[in-house]
Amino acid sequence: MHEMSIAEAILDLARKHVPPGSVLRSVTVRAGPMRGIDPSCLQWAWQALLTETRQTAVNLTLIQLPWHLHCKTCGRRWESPQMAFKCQCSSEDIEPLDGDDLQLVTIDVDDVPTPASVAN
Amino acid sequence: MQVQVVENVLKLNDEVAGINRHRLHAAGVFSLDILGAPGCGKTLLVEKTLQRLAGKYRLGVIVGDLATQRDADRIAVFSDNVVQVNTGKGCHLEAHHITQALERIDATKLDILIIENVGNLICPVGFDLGQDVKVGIFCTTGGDDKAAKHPYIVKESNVLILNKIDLLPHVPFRRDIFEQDIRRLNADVPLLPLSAHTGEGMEAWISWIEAERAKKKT
Repeated sequence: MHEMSIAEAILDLARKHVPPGSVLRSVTVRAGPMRGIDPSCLQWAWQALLTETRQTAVNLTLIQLPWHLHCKTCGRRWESPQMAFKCQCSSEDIEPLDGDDLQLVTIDVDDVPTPASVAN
Repeated sequence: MQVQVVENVLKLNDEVAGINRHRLHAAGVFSLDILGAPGCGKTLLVEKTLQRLAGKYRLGVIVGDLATQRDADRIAVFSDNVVQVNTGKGCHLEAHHITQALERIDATKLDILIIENVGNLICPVGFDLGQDVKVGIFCTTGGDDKAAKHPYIVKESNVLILNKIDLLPHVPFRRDIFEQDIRRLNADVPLLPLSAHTGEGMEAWISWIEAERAKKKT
């Protein structure tokens, strides 16, 4: 289950981008279909990781990108949630154009409450 | 407050892989990462490959498995430079595993390093180890639909092997369907049918390794 390794990599990278004096609240990750990420497995791994590292609750949003396909016969380009093996023109000469993206897109952080701000 | 990042999640792994690659190149080592499902014949192929390359090249092997020393013991018959990496719960090797294994092998005394990844058609593909080439292995007993179901390994491999062709008369494997699926996903990747068990097709595989090694050295 590569989702645990990916969850660890997301958390490591996200922590590096948290400004001093802030706390991580959420992360948004974008993944292409070739990465074979199971969303529920990633969420399970993420929660297990937060527990293991005693991290406060951090929400993980996974944006799953569709396949970008190209028909080499008619030239049509389209998006599909599944890898397609046939074009509308009946050609089976289909190629995927990309699909291996795996990026941390944004993080959300909150300021850590200081004793002074709590008192006020 | 939202912070824009847009960075590769596996950036750290890729950086470590880059260090491994630099280290291996500096030592003049050509390296292969062997990927395939459990039972597809990775270890037998490594054994037979070592047999054919021994005497001509100085060979090293890093073997990844969740548990046991069994593959390293099998391979140690053919090479003195074998390191077993047990990943525990991890379903794939990562770049830092190779960095650690290279502490136990003197890369300057090698010409070729074979890395046998953990048996898995999915997870290892996305993790760069610092290798020169990725070798994806399918087998006739695994079914002719495995290339279509695992597009990432087909797209990312520098060469694909169809192992166990000696069993073709005994299994319902449509080679035309398998090859058509591969060509849709990766039009140019070399596909080498062979049987590590009988030796059929092994010459083409050995020639491919030697040609790729020669390309890397020029």
